[in-house]
Amino acid sequence: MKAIDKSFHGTHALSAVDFELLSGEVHVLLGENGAGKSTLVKILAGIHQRDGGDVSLRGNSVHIDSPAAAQRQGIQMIHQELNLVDDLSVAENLFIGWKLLSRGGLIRWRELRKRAGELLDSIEADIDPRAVVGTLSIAKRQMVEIARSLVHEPDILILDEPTATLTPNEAERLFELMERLRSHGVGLIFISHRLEEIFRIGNRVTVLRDGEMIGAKEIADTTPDELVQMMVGRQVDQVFPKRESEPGATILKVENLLTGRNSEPISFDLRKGEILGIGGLVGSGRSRLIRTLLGLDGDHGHFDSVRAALRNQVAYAPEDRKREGLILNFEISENVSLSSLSAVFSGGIHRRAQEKRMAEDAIDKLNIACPGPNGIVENLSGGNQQKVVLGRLLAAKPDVLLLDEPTRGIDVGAKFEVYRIMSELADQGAAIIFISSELPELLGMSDRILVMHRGELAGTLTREEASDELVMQYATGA
Amino acid sequence: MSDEQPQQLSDRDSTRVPLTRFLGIWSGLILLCLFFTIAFPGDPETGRDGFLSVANFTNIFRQITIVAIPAIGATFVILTAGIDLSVGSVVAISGMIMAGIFRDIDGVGLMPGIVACIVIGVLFGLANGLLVTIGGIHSFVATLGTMAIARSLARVNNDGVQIGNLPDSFGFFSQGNAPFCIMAVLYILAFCVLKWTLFGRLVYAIGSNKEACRLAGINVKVHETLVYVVAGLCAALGSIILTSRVGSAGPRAGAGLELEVIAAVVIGGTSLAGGRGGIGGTFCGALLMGVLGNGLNLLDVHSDWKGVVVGLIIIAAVVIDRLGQPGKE
Repeated sequence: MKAIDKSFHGTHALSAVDFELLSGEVHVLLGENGAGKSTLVKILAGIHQRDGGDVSLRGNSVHIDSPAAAQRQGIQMIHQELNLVDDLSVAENLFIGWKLLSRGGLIRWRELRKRAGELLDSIEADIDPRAVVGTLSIAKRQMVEIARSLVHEPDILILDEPTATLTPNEAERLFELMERLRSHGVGLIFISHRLEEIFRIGNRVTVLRDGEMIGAKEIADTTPDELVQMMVGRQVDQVFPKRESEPGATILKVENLLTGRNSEPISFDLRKGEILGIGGLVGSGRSRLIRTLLGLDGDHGHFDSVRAALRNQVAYAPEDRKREGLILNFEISENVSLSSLSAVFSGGIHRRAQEKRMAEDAIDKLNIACPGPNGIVENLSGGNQQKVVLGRLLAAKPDVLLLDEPTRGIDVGAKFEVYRIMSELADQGAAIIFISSELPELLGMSDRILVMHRGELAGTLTREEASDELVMQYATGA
Repeated sequence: MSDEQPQQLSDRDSTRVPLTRFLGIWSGLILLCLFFTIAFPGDPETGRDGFLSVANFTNIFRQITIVAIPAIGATFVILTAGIDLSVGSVVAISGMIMAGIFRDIDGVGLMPGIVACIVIGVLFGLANGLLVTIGGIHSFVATLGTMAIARSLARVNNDGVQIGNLPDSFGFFSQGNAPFCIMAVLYILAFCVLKWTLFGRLVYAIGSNKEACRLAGINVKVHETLVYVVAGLCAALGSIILTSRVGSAGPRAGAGLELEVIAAVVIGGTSLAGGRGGIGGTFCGALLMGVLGNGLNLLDVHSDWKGVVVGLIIIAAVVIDRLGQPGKE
């Protein structure tokens, strides 16, 4: 791809970007949110049309004007937002659009299931082909998505942040799969923020910033710091902004919480000024723990409902920010005030000035990049959307914050801002429980870590005793 | 931050009340009026009023109140991504109860009957709301059920015979400017509620993303139920005017009304998926259908054809909507 230009509504998403992919290589595309990575690959995948520049495959200039055309060229893309039909089974999703028909025109279900099973086995995904996709966890759904793209035996496979919801183990399996594909000559474009992964699996890396190509390097010739500097354009301190804390009095005492019919009751404390991390593999019950606490799952929550929790100054940021945490077509100010509506509508009338101030506070404090408090949330980048969610929580002035994967799918710069905010809040006496699948973050930010395994509390680690190995040991039940 | 006002405003409006759609239907209405004005000019010689005359328009405004008032409630319901099919049936049963009280209880004036009518409407609305929120039943199914029940009750009541001989004073609701004024007041009230109150905000919020509201600590059940209560109330108010106009309350009153009401709301730009649309559009939709009916009537076209035209307009309105949103599936 040479000198690619792309504009949306007058904003330059990409200017004169060059990108080259060799067969049999894993080429990483790196950059902050809004840098243009997704836009670039979407042009290749036929979802967007370029405004300027050239795309050529194997030396021949091509014009890919639709996803179908891209598929015909052997290009497959795994999106960040999964393209699965929740109500259908895994097997049906894998072969959507294919006609495995018998002579009579009926679907050959047994063959469908068999092929689905084989495909899933080839990537070592422990998923029943008959399972309904909507019932699977996000991580498993992602595996299905990956399997689906392999059905077409692509020459070029684009992976847009595939490991965001995978545990280190599952990510490793993905990397092994990618290695296998690579050795078969497939060219892989891998978008990720996680530097450890990039150095594990990448051969070359291209860094984008603000729609421009900053540089392309061989992985072997560069360092994480150099890459971060290229991404961000300035020196970034990789140290987690977590100070040594003096946790105060117990603010939340959870006793004998039952998250499932057959699980052991879970008890733990939370103290003021403390950051409690919850670790564990996907499916180990971390989200379920928090949801049970809030009365969303299970029979007896600690609180009767999210409303009851809010009344007790306990605020919740769900895992799926687009579907559960935000009203996308509402403005920033309307999202920020969503948990504090009684304050903004006091006396029955809309206090516009107050709502605006609330939003401006959030934008200021959280450094949200937006056109203003009236900006529509849908148009913001993932990181800024997450900040709006946090803004909503903060506007409710909570004593306790429950954050489910607060930094998932957001870029390095924004992540560190979230860490900074978490630290500040803890310093001011708030207590935070946060779920994370990223070990560095978990180890770097938590005062204590609860590790879940198969729906039960496998272990509690203090900051001093915690380490990658220990956490993984508990998480895997070793 | 505050230097982009014009852009921000259109941003905001475009997600609640699609600006293009809004302008679209009002222009459509104006075009239609223009067409009928040309097709049917007044004749000063015979004193016959043309389309574009005070007399004719007064007529139109009076006619549309039957659909326009229940359409207010329907707008609220559809904004939350729900639907209320029981409107027509509730009109019938509430009207009959009211007429029954007029007939059976003497010397208490109109109030008891009117109050009873409203109470019936509210009760059915409450039933709808509870079925949807606590029963977890899809609004289509729930209101289909109450629609059948209400219609049946209307037939059972008084052995299915119309109740006439209404008090003369009751005629107030269908004479002069009363219907129009009542409609205007209700529309202004509804507009203010949707735009400036907490309830209004929640209607849009729940319609846009119910789960996010729940997880943000909003009492979704209460407000969603309330929306159906509003719809029931509006149906009852519509029944008052209809019964007054017709001079009697019968089990067949309001038959098919729910479809006209929903048509007005949909033509007016409120999305069935919830979260987008508003009262102004609904008024335009109701007016459009009224103008259409009136114009066709003046042109001596059989009123049965109105359905064809309305149907085409509904489809056209949604198609134009889609065309105006390139790249959106």
